Amino acid sequence: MIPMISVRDLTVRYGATTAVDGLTMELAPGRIYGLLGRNGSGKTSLLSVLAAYRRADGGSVEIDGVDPFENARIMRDTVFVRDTLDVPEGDRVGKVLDFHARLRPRWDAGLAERLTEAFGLDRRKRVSALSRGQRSGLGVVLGLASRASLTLLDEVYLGMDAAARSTFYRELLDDYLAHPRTIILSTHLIQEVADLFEEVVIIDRGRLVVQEETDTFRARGVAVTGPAEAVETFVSGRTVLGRQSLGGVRQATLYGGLGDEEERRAEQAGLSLAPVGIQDLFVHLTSGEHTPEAVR
Amino acid sequence: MNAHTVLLTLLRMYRPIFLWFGATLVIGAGIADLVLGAVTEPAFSLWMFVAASAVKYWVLVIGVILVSTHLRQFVAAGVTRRALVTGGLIFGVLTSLAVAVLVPLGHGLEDALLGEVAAGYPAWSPRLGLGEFGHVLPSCLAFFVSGAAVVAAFYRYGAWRGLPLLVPALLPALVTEGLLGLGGNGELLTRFLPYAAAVTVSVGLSLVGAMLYRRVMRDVTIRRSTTS
Repeated sequence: MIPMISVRDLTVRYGATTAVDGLTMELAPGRIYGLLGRNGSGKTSLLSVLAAYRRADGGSVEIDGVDPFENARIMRDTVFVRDTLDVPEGDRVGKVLDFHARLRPRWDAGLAERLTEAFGLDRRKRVSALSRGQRSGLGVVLGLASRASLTLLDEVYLGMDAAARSTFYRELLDDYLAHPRTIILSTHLIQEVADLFEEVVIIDRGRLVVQEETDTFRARGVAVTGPAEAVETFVSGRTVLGRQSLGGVRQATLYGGLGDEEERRAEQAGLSLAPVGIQDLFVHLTSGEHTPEAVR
Repeated sequence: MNAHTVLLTLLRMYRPIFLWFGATLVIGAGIADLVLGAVTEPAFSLWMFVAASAVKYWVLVIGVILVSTHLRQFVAAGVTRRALVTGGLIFGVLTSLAVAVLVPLGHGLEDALLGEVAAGYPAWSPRLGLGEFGHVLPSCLAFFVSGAAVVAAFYRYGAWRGLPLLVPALLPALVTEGLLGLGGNGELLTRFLPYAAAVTVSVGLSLVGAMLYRRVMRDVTIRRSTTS
């Protein structure tokens, strides 16, 4: 399959700071990607380049085979919603929605109306008067109702309460199933959103750490628990992401799946094996002790 | 999304503002003129005093808003910088044309409304109206371009690095203000150069300003806010 998004040696700098450092990846079209990374890892910079909000300082980005920067066709079909809404503060919600409805070729007015109600947005209220959660809700309305082939959502849930976030996840999934497109969702609420992701992309310090199917990635993490000595013997020669000890009991988090034979061996050694959540894997992979090279 | 779409969107956005602004100006000056005419024979043009000096600053503000507000807004809606700059410049030209027509038109209406006037009042004539149009238009174009270019320079390069661009960006407005203008009573002021040469210099500088604006904006990063 021809990749919809192709990133080669992408570099983004802010003065002396390198936000994205020679990142290379390919993303197939029509999937929901979870873009994960710690604060300052380069997520927003990467999304900004994909959305043509800024030029790359090095390397190349192609969407459908062309550079998205100032490409009218690609930009028309890309929507980027970031935590700071790119709308005039003094405009009323209704005016903001009408503006996007006029300029977005695939704008779904019905969906916009439904989401506006779901997030409790008053069309007559000015953007400056919206609460943090309501502003995020407006961002979600713009992001989903645009129905852009490439939808980039960067921390769009900020300030939303649990019910609003749940509405967002449900609407995102429903709309995606009805109108498949490429969605990249950057988030820190990994555990909460993990089930939405079809593929996980983790970046750290501007470099790609992991890009995998969510299920494959999930299967890579194994927590081995048992007597300290037995655990150390078992994990010897493997990539250990972290260790925790309590008395004589130790738990080691391994990166890399175990085969049937290895699982049997662990059982015989009196060790218990448990899956590791995506968030735990993410924390281990980006904790600072593990450089991207170490886990490749 | 092309410049035509941007132009139509801007016209639609600004239409109610234009109408309110124009109506307030015309009705306000009209009422004031009626009161003035009832108590005295005015020796000056209130319309020219208020409107002629106000319009160029209003057009300058539109140039400023084009970058400070509309850049993020339009790019976030999938519009290219190129389309926004081109559509915005055409919008600026059309706005300048509209206000350049409004000024002599309002003066003519005022003249008709007042009837008897004292000696100092600048009596309207088609020739004077044409002169007013010919002075207001280059002035508005220059102020619009300067407003847009100054903010574009600061938006892109920040306060200190943008400072050197302040001079070329302000040049169209400053030079035009020096060469052409309207006095407080609507006098046609043409200084230092004959009118044709002054207009040529003014329009030429506005074109250079527009090119500078286009150059600065063509690959500008879309910041989170105007100040960040």
